[in-house]
Amino acid sequence: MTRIVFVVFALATGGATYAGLYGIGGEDAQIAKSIRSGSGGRVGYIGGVK
Amino acid sequence: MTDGFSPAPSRLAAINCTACGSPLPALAGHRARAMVCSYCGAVMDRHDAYRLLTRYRDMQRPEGPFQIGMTGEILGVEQVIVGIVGVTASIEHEDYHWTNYQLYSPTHGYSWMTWFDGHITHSRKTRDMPETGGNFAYKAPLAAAGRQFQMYEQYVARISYLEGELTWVPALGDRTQVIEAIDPPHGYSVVIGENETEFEFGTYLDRRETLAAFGVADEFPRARTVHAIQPFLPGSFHTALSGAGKLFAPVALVLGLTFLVIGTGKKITETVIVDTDAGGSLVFPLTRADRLAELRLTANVVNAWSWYDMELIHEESEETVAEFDKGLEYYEGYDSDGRWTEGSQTATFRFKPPAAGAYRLTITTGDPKSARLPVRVEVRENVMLSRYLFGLSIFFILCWLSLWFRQSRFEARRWGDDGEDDD
Repeated sequence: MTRIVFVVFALATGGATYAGLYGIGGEDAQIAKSIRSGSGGRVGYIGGVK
Repeated sequence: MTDGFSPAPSRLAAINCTACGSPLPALAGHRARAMVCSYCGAVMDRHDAYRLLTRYRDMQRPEGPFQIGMTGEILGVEQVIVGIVGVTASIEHEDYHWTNYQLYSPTHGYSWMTWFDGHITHSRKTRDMPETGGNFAYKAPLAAAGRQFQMYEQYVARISYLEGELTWVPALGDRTQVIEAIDPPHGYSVVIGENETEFEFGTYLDRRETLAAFGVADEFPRARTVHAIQPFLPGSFHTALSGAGKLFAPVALVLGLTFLVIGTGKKITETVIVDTDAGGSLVFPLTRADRLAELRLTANVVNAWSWYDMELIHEESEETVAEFDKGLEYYEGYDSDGRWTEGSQTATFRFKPPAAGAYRLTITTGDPKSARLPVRVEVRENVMLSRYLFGLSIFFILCWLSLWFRQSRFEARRWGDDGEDDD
């Protein structure tokens, strides 16, 4: 039981660290929505300039 | 062919009550002094040809899961129940009832098993006297039997029921003063009778195991109370949860604080746009598409508001990545409670650029009624979030402390400090 709980807690800590590092869920909703929907449908083009 | 060891078949001896003639099991050893008839309440002297001493009619057998004649193993010793004694005590103006079962083992002699509110304990006489004397003092230390006990309570116990074979000649209503000290899962009692003082060592028994050992189905109500010598057993899951919480809470907290300090990211540029009516812009590079970038607007709005329309453009393609707007409003003043403020002079936007490269942010005052104020724009990248780690550390701390909290409540219930019994 101890081992299982420790593994779960370690995974949770790793997950929170990853989410914090890459800012998952930290985007401004309005900008994220605008980027997703694209301004004038041109977001696909922006992706293409990578 | 015979077995190497063949135990003798158990023999159930019996006598007939000398008062009513009912058959009664005779299971105890020679030292048992009295036999109390289960049917007519006759008290007989086992050492004097079961001579009738007295008789108690209409006794109500106290509740309990065991019966005379049952056998089972307690603390590694095979025991048989030979007698039953009901006990009543008044403690702090409240009556308590419990059932003592006289146990007999041919190898270990006599001892007691007690059923109280669904709890089962075992006690035996001990020659270990307390190392210090003195009067009862609540929670005072008491060293005895190689243990450090804490004084728990004292009361006067009165016999309310008798049945079977017992090691002394009892009388209904007999009283003894009892002083109890505890060191869960053990207890130590000083039993002061009319003619002698005895010392008893008690042990809390696992209810499920004990009932099973005696072949009794556990169909009795669960204990509503915490017994004086009941050990705190939180279970493996809660223990693991608390242990892991204790280990991981500082890890998550340190990581969260690290993210808080270094997670503000790297400042790319900072500029002040003076004439937002005419509109202004700034160009900045963003190197990581997978990391958060941050725009921060600051304007010295006081008791006013200003609204900004913004457009984020990818420089190379001249394509608009995002359009967004935001107002800054800040009010302050004084009232009967003192100074007050409302709103903020700063607004923060976080986003992930769709691709690395140079971006241009254009900004204009978006509303004719908006205050016209210079706005400072700051751009940072590689911004980190500490919120998840702080949230997790709070969860871990709760897991860690929950065991302590649960044990504190358990101890409060043991000592009657939980307020449930307050008048």
